[in-house]
Order: sequence, then C-alpha cells, then structure tokens
Amino acid sequence: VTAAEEEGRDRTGTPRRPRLHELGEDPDVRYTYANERTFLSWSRTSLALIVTGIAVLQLLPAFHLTGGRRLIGLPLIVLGSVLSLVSWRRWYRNEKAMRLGQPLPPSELPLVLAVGVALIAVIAIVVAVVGQ
Amino acid sequence: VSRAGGSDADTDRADALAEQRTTLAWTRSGLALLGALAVLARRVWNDGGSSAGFLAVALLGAATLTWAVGIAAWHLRRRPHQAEPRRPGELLAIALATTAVGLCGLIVTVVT
Repeated sequence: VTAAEEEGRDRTGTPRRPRLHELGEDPDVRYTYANERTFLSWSRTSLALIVTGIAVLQLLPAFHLTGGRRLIGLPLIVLGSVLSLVSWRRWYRNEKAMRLGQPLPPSELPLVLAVGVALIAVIAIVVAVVGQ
Repeated sequence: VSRAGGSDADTDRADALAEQRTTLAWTRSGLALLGALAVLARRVWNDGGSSAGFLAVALLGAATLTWAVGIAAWHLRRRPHQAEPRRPGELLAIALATTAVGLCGLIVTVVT
C-alpha cells in the first residue's frame, strides 16, 4: 500500500472510492447476516424465474400460436437475470447504509418482481386463449 | 460495533444462530441449482445430448461456485468463535453466476 493509497487516492491522485469495509463502522453482525440471507433469497427467486423460463422453452409442448413459448419463457429469463444483479446492488446499499448508521434505502425490487410476474401472467393467459 | 440489546451470552447465541441460518440459506441456494441441474441432465440424457447440455454446464458451474463460496471458502477463512460474513465480491459472484445461467438460457433459445 503506497502513501497515496493510504490517503484514499490512487496513483493518478484522484480520490479513490472507499471500499465497503472502510466505510463507517461494523454493524451488528446479525444484521449483516440477515442482509446476506435476504440477498440469497432474492438470488433463489431469480433462479426460479430463469429455470421456469427455460422449462417453458424446453419442456412445454408447442402452442398453436407461433412463438407462444418464447413469449412466456423469454421475459421470465430476462426478469430473473435482471433481478439477480439488482438484488446484489440492494445488498450493497443496505450494507453501506448500516455501516454509516443511515436508514435502509427504499427498494424497487418487490415492485419490479410483482409487476414483472403480473405482466408475464397476462401474456401467458393471452397465449393460452389465442393458442387454443 | 453497535449491538442489538441483551447480555453477552445472548449476543453470542443470537450471532451463532444467525450464522447457522445464513449457512442454511447458502445450502438451499446450492441445492436449488443442483435440483435444476438434475431436471436438465435428465433431458440431456433423453435427447442423447443437445443444447440443454450447455445449460447444464452453466448450472453445475453456478452450483459449484455457490457451495465453494458459501461453505468451503468461508470455512477456510473464518477463525474460531468469530463472526465472518461473506464479502461483497463473493455475493457478486453468485449474482453474476445466476445471470450467466439466464444468458445461457437465452443463447440456447436463440440457437435452437
């Protein structure tokens, strides 16, 4: 570690973004674990969405509507992939807020999940009705 | 370090239980991936090998990473009687692995 890095600057002299563990103080470890479990729950939810999407594409018999399986399966996979990344960001923001003693930031994740699943359900209903 | 109330013994017990719940959550995540892998492996077997094999490899990689990060790597690193939460990069690895499974799904869909 160089003197510049000690002062929180990189080699070009611009201030370095502090690492997570350098911010504030360690929160009660139980909260850190709770945050970690919440992230893992979100990642399992993401995986469930992705695997359901793959199952729709690979295992369902074809609808009479052309591209019917893709209309349902692709949004599921995309939603799951996006959620997995956004959930990490949420974990990071929660951890940061706890270290700095700030209130937890509001989360858009539940809304994204609820709206996404509802939209896919509507698509599935339409495909099922039209593709009869 | 700020602590939620209670005596020292209470705090130690609560920490140990929180740690156990977290390790169980990692175990469930690994099992969820392996379960998905089992379904796909069966399909690959029935088809005599197909693009589903590509997805199976992605799932197996993600499952291995989950176990390695959540259980093995953490056990190697931790010291006795001391809490050791996972690090940001380790959680990011899981998020990226999950996204990779999704990407493989998209690629397989486009290819087949």
